[in-house]
Amino acid sequence: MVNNYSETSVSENYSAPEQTLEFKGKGTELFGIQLPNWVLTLVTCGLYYPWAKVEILKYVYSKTEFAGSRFKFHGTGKEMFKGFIKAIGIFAVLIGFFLFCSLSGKPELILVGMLGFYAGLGLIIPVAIHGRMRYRLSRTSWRGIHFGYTGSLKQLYIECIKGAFLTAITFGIYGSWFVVNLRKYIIGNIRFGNIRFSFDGEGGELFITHLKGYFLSVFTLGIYLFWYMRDLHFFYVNNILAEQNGRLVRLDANVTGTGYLKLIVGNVLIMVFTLGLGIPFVTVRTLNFVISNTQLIGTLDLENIEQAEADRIGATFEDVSDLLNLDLV
Amino acid sequence: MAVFQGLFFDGKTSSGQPVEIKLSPGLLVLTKKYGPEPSEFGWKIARISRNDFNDREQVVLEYASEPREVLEVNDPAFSGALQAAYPHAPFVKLKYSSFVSGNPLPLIGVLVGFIALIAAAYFWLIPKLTDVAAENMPTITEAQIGEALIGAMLKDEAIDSAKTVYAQKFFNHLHGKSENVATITVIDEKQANAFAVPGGNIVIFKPIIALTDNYAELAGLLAHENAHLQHRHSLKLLFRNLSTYFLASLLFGDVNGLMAILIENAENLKELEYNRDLEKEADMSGLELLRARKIDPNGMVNLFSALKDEHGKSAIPEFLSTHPVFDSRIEYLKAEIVKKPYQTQPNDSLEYYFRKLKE
Ligand SMILES: [Zn+2]
Repeated sequence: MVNNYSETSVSENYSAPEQTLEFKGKGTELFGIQLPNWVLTLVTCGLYYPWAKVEILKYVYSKTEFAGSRFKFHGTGKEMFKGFIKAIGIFAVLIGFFLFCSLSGKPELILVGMLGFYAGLGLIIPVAIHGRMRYRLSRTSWRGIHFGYTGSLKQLYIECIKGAFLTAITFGIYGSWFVVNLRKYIIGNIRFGNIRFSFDGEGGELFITHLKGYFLSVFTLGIYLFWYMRDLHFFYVNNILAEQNGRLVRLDANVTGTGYLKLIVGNVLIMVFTLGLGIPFVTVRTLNFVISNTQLIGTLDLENIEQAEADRIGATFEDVSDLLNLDLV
Repeated sequence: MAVFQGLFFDGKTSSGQPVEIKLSPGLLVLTKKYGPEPSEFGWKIARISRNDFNDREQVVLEYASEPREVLEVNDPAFSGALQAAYPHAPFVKLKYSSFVSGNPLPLIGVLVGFIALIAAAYFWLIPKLTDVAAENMPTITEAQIGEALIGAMLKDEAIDSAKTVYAQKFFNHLHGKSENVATITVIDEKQANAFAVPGGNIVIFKPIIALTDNYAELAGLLAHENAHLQHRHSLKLLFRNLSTYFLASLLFGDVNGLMAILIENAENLKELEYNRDLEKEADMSGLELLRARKIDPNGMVNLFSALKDEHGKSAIPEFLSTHPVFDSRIEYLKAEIVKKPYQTQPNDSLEYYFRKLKE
């Protein structure tokens, strides 16, 4: 029996699958999961929402395949519920403050209320991003290896305050650099076992992309919008690098403007003709478009990704972020 | 016994080790096919975590070990074999909805029940709740709301201040009380109309004064509007309308919209119509005031006849049910007058202010 083992027999019996990404979800399945969730969320006046969210995430992760293995989301409704309640609480306080000030009828107080409301929102955003990255990545695994986020909240605050300040005094021009720096910081702190990620796009590149996209869209009466989206997609995806033991691998998207056109026109038609009930089909189409059109340039050593110490944290800000509809990565 | 091929991950590295899997009672028996020493080990069924969304293409199982071990099986027969061998295990219970994978009846039942619930809430519970809220609202709060509303409504209107003074005096004499029961405002407008605003405000559009031929008709109008106020009809109406807006803004997450609602409704309130029950209640209460003040109740009947004619004349096609509504109102008013006849008394003050208003 001992003799049975040899390198050749491994490769004969088990050939390493190609390192491609694929989304295997189906609109009908997601619809079947969403429909009862909508009903339960409505019947419970929204309290069921965290559990519904977890179910959708579990489904989407377990239908996303990389190199033949599925991802897994380990979060629970209870964890998300805690974050959800805190998010609602924070919003209730902010909105309460805003309403209190506006109902007073005094112009100065109304101004204070508005400033307080937006300042409060601004101060939550870094906490929300940080909490969401920590929570969601720590609950994501592939082949039993967990993702993790090593960023610090303090550093994120510094990035955000600096970026917001420079963006304000340059009348928004610095915005592209702000977004890119934020992305560099966040993606630079994602790890997967002994794999680290980085983002090597530059603010200037994003700024040019926006400028070109804006003017060409205006000149072509909006037709160029789809190609503008493609360019942004390229910028955000193709600049993501993964590094393992000094070896670099790059993500590579091969979406096209026509692809975006088909995706968006199709999605709009589905939404209109199903009165919004077709949203699961829209989700599946979009995920399929994004995930299945992403490849790797270079190969990772998938046999030797080592598990890092898993950290357990609360779900506090998972849904603050979702409520604000921040979509990063 | 069937043997399946799978990949085993030990939770320490991502390296997959090919294993053979046998389904024995209470235990998955795994045998590493290659390795320094091929070894057999077991996964207790009770410690395998659930996975809600396995499919035939790939089944992933996770074992509650430290660190967690993972097993992947890409065999279309494996899912069925697991179901057959461990029918009660948590990891074979998939959470795909019955709507897609089998009997849709439970879900459709829940859905229909839920829609019925929503409909009941919308058509019965919410109006009921808003009525209760309107009835129990403190007078001071009603006055505050009313003040904001009347301010917004009259902002762009041309107020006829002379006629407003006479109309107020007319109303005070009609009511016969020393304090102002309601505040009357007369404005320049094209249609013949009048309406009550929460907090004790009645707004009269000038053309309706032109429509009246004697003080009893104007008294009928004001008695009717005053009854709307006394029964808090306009507050109820406002609340019902707000509840729809409130729900809509909740559904669409539009919080800022809520702020504008009150002011927006100030404009809409003019166009809103009370339902027939509320109108009848206001007609009957108005009639009682006329009886108490010994004013000819036929004034109210004549007022509605005049309004009906006015609607018939207008070039804009009116909502079809308008005429039957006036007809039925005239009918039940006549019946009520015949049922409880009383002696009328001429009222010089009302006559005087009516003449001033008609000038
Ligand atoms: Zn009325």
